[in-house]
Amino acid sequence: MTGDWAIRARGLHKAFAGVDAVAGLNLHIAPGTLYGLIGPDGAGKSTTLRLLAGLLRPDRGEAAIAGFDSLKQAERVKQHMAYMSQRFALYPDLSVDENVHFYADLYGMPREQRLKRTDQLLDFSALRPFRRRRAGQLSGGMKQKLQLICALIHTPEVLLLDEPTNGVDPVSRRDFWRILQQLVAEGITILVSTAYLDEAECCSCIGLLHQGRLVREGTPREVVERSGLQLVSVRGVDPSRLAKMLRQHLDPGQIHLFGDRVRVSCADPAELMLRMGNWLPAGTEMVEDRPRLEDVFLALQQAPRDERLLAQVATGVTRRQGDAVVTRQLSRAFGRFTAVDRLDLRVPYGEIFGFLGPNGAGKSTTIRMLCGLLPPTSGCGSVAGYDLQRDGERIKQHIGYMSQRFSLYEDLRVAENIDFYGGIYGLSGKALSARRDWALELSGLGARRDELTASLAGGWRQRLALACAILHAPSVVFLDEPTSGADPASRRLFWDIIRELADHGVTLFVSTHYMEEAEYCDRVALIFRGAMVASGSCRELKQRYGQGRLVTSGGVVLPDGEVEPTMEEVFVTLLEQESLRDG
Amino acid sequence: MVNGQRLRAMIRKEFIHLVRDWRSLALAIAIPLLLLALFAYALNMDLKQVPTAVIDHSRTPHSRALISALDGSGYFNLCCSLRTLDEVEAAMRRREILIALVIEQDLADRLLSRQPARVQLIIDGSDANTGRLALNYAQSLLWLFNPQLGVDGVRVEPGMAAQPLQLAARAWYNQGLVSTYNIVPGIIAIVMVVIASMLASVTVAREWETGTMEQLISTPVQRLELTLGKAIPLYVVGLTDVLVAAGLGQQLFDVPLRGQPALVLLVASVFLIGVLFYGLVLSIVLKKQVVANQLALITGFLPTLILSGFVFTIANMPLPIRLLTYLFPARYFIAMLRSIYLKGVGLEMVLIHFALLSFYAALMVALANRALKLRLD
Repeated sequence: MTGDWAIRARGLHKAFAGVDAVAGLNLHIAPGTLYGLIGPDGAGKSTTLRLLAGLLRPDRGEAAIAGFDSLKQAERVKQHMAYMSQRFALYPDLSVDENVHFYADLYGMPREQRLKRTDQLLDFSALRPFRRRRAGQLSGGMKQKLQLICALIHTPEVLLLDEPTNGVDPVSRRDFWRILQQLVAEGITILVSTAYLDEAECCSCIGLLHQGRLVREGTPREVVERSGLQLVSVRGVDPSRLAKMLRQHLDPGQIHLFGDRVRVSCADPAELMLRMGNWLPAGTEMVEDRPRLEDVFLALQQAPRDERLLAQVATGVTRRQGDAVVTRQLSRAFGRFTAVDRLDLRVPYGEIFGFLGPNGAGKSTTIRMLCGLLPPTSGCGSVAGYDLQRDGERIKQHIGYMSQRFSLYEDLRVAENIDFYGGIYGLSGKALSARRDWALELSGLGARRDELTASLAGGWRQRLALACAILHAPSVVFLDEPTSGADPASRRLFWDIIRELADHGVTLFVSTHYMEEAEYCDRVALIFRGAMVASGSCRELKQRYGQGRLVTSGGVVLPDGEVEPTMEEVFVTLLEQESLRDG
Repeated sequence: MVNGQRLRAMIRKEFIHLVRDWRSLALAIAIPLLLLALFAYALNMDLKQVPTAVIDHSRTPHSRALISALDGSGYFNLCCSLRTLDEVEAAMRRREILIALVIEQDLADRLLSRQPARVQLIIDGSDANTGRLALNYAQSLLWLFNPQLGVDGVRVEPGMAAQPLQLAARAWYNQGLVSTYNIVPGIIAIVMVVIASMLASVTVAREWETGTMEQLISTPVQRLELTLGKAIPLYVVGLTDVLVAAGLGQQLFDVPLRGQPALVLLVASVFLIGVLFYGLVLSIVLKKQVVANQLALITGFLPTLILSGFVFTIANMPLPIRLLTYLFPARYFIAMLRSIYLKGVGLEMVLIHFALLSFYAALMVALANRALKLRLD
């Protein structure tokens, strides 16, 4: 077919309103490659894919797919490739079958061939039982798989996927990547952009995009090795205190608190360990650790840890004692469907509590009940000392809530959004202006206070949304998938802020899909089909459920050479067990 | 240019959208019924049984004949006989009567001596429309009764008696009978414009807003397939509505169709294509459902209602507005439909209008396909 490349870009340029999105990009991707395009928010990933797909006209340079120019031979290109946009782009009111057939027709598939291919793809993705269901009623993971099927229906040579697993739970995410790997084995070339670097580690080749340019390229292993980055993991009784101590002695940018260990990046681990040995408390373990793609990525981005900012995160918070959230047999039914089933929770003040579970497990319903937005059908509980059944309105005044969807007003300026939320929480005059300055500082948007919120990139929006949610200095904060779709640097800062709040006695109740983020939590609870499956610290869960698992990428090497499972593996094991039990 | 399989796929998909979004569809089908009922009954210029009082100072056969002429017309209901103007005022305040007829003592004398005679009509001006209508009716009745009778200061000169034709010519007082005739053609235009603005103006914008457009344009689909695929299902809905409106007009309101039914369908089709593609152009250019929808209502529905000659007579408009009406296709369409419906004319009689309408439709189809970009920038 196309010789030595399936996807090619030469000197590709595209600017929007004078700002370069893609600046002189060169890409040569060989047939049969699973190529991961990674980069921070606004690095130009989506623009690159759209240029390749011929959906955008480049200012300069050329893009080509399967031997055809993306612009001049757009028709031919469209026949040979499939593109999957970042947003869910199928018709929610059409059934699975109808969506697939629609795309099959657009690609001119003959009827007999299509039926066979559809069956094959539906089996392949385990969607066959749902073929009559409307696409809008599928879970997040199934939607993405359906979109992939629609893209694959005409057996394209090249597949362009734009962050296909955003907002997809770990089990579905794993399925999705398994499918991609099978497709590559069949000879399809795949270019996939992702914000999640554990996914990038599954690619045969990755390219790191920064400000519209390719700054690193190679196999994940090569990229890590060539970076020259080394890591030392430090483990102690109180990892949070340990991290503080390390930050005082070393460059804070080197320190990363992750789960029960502190990871310190350096150029020479032996020298560092020797140095640290002098002042680290007795009983602290030090071990050389394998750097991961994420570490390389963050080192490249050189996002310094802003100590001044973090120091004032918890301004105005009053430290309280006891339990922030208590529930007993908390349940919520919608008609005959039980969304939350007899949930017992106890979360003390100052804890980061991770609330994990696949799409549709009942996470959001539980959080809505705890926020006083939805009354429970049975059971009882209290939040910040107020009863769930009776004091819903009071609860709302004493908690912070950041919903899954972007909750700010895009047509308001940054400062106006803050003022609006301040007004809602009853702030005015001097109190409001003090909190406004604080929120601008926290979101890092002081200089952009008069910009429209619509113009902010993902990571900034999330920081602003968080600042608005905690404007009134609540002692309990609910965050519903706060980092979905944010890049690693934004996520890390986000979790630094969360840790800082917790250290000042704030309870953070966080739901997330991303198991790696569970490591940042003091304790996690895993829920599945509305009921609690397991709870404890990550370390406990790994010991209890992570045994005997084959570890793929991302496993961390422990001192005795044993391989520690990741939280994602624990999660998948547990869910598979539960699914088996239910038959 | 157009691939049959892809076009069919688009059409099928759009039909599914229509059926699954049954509320919008039901509305689109119900609108002709609703509008027809609304306009036919509410816009009715007919007067029936207006409560009327009489003060008869004359008490002669002449005055009694006049009263019975009024009573017998069916438009007025003589509910009470009063003696003084104070009583009239009291009855009017109680809203018992809307109109009062005052007959002076000298009525018979003046009529007999061929002098201009006068009666007085007192009307409840708080309901201006009904009042004016009642006045017009009464006036015409009185003139018919005796052309020498002047009403409310309207003097009838002696010469008038020789020209009773003038009175008969003012048949617009009988509008109640004719109005549904004019309404049905107008309704057909309105219905199609409503469908275009309600359904067509949002259909492309919705795909942009939900993100499905990005996926769609990454496939080999062509512009004409996309616009036709969206227009054809709406065309079917629109034509169904035309049939419903025309059928109801005939069944419920006895509106005769004197021309050829096929000609009505042909003309309606051309108009429908024009307004549907106008809706699509708005949808394609604006990419926002709410904006496109609003603009379609303001630039499509309102002019069709106001400037097409449907409700307000174009000839009575000031010149600048009258010139403006030429810009809206509904003007030609309604004029053609009325001719076909009421006069039973053939295509050759409305050829210029038909050509203008066809030009508009072709222009909109071309614009829609030109405006639609299969790229994101």
